[in-house]
Amino acid sequence: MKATLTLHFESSSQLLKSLLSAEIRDSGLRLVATAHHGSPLELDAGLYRVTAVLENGAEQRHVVALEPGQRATLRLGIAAPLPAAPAHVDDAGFESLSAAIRLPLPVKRVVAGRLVAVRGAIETTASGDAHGFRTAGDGFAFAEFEHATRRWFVSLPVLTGGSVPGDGRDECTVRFDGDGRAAKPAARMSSWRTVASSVQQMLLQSRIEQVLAVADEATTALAEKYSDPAGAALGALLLHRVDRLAPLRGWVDNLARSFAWLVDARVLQAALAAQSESAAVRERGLSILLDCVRERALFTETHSLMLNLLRRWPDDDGLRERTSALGTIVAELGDIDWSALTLTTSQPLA
Amino acid sequence: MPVASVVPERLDAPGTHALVIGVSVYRHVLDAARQSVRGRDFAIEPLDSAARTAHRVASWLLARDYDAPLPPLASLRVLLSPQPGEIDTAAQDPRLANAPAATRANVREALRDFRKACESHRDNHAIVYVIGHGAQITKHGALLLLEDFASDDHDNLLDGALDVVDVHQALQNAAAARQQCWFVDVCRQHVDVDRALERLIGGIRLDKKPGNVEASPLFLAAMSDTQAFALRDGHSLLCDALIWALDDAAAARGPRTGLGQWHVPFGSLYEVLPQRVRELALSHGVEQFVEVGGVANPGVFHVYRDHPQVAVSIVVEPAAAQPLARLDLSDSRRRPVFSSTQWPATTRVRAGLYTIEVTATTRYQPYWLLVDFAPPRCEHHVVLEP
Repeated sequence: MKATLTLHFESSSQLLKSLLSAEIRDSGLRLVATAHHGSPLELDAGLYRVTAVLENGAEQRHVVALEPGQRATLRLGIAAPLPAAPAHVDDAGFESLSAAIRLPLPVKRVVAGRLVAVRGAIETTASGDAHGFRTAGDGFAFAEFEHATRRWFVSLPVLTGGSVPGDGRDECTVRFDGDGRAAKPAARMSSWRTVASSVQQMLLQSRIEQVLAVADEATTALAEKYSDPAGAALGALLLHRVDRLAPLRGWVDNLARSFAWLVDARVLQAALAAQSESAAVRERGLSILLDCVRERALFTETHSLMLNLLRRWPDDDGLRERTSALGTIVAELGDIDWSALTLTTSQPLA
Repeated sequence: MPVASVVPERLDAPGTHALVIGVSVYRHVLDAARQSVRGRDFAIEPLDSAARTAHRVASWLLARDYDAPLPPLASLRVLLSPQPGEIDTAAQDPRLANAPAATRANVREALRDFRKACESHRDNHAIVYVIGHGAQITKHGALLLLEDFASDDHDNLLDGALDVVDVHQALQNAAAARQQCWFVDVCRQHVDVDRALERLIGGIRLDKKPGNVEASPLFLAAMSDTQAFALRDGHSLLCDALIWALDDAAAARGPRTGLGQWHVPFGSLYEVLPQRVRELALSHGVEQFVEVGGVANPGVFHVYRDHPQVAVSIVVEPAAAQPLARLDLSDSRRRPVFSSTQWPATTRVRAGLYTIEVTATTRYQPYWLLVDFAPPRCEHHVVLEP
């Protein structure tokens, strides 16, 4: 006899609700189905493990027992209260037989850095351990901090040019992660920017497969109506990394044209041009690339891509200019924190 | 010296082709045996376990099972530059006894033949593991310094370095192995060395051909300001984490449609390797962060012949309840699997869903719970209530 299981993903984003999925495995942990929000799933009665990666990148696992004829609903999401692991059996009902397993997120000690300058953004909140920022209206945003023996320069992923209203909220935060003097700043898009934040969180937690499953639709949504240019750029970088950006060449061009401050879009234009079979397109791409080298990227991945393109442009043309540009970047930018999401560089304090 | 495969090379059918390079010795850097004029600028210490780590990976590749969908091992090229006594020659697989040194000439030859092997059949798989001193010059890329780095016989400084990302990208083409997995276990050197190399264009590279592959993740062992660590008498943390994830089935996932065996998808490695390396590093009081780059699409890295076992430990609290308590573990069909009155109760079971039932006379309420035992081990605390 069959039972029916329906999953409900809790999210403020209808898009994420439709994109997130859960694995359903049987008692031998064989994959029997991949389930989406709201679609009833007919399963044989028995034990199942339900695993989902949520919009914040955390994994949630439930063991559920389906009785013959039962119609059960399981809610998944950071906003959904987890059923407490039951200490006893009181009936054969679904909730009492489900055991939720929360996987702990890594706990980091946080220290504060001193904000010494900010451009293109306004500091909205400053608690002991975090600085919140929103866009100042236009232009590229970055902040300078001092901590221990170093001065840090952090690109800020604020909502400059975005059509989503920030309403004065923190659009991104910077925290110093790590212990004591070794702590480093880390900028993050705020969680209320649900789709962009979800892509960010899944990336940060190495949920590569899950983020790729939502990347195309999420990135397109972020780029549509320019709702979140920074989030769109992050998604586009991810798609470029797995060779899936070329079909979206048109909106990369739009992004680059509409947001002159977003050097990331222009580097992506150059990267797509480098793959072209047309020498003229490649030549134009190299020109775009060389124009970018004096500007600061928003994401570390963009800066990395720029260095890669300078080193490995498919033509021998411009070797001298590329070598010179590399030298300029290395000399001027300071030490790069390759582990950071947004471009984060530092120099020793004088 | 030719860089032949250590197993009979098969290019007429789909196969797994592997390249492993480990460099512990640097002959031309500051204070080295044959210090060069150019090498005086590079104070690079010899490594204690890079070649041993590469040897360990090569041994694992020789010993592993290659069950479908993984094609059989069809070539394995190994280049090692060990320190004297670094590798236990008495215990080693004889096929690895005469591995050529990881010099520019040998690496170029090995790369040429490895590429030819990879491009011999679209359904090939490829595995690359390189370890030694290096420099991380982009978020997802690195240079591996070879044994003769900074030799005065080279035209350019980077002639003695392997541009791993360039080679990785060159093998992303329409003829190359459909699924590839790359591990770049390079130690980050002193910043001055990095900065000297960052601004240069060069290193051993390969031509890029059009097209791409299904999946080709690249695991980079270290980020800036974090080194890739290795145990002086052991192996690198990345190697230890990889072997742990595979041998202990820590990265295993159950069968899925179209693949009826437990296996390790690339997706598991994306999650498990960075976490495990960080744990290992922290246990030694240091930090290390693994970065995943390359074409990070789904793929299968390893297949298990048998259903993985899980080491289970169940503890009862409070301690006063232990002399009275009895554990009954049953499978999903309520068939008894294991019973115990000894605490902690330990056993090994097949991965899966189980029922834990603990009774302790009438002084405590009975406990019952459905649990998910996933490899490699599970510890469960049972708290009995009066």
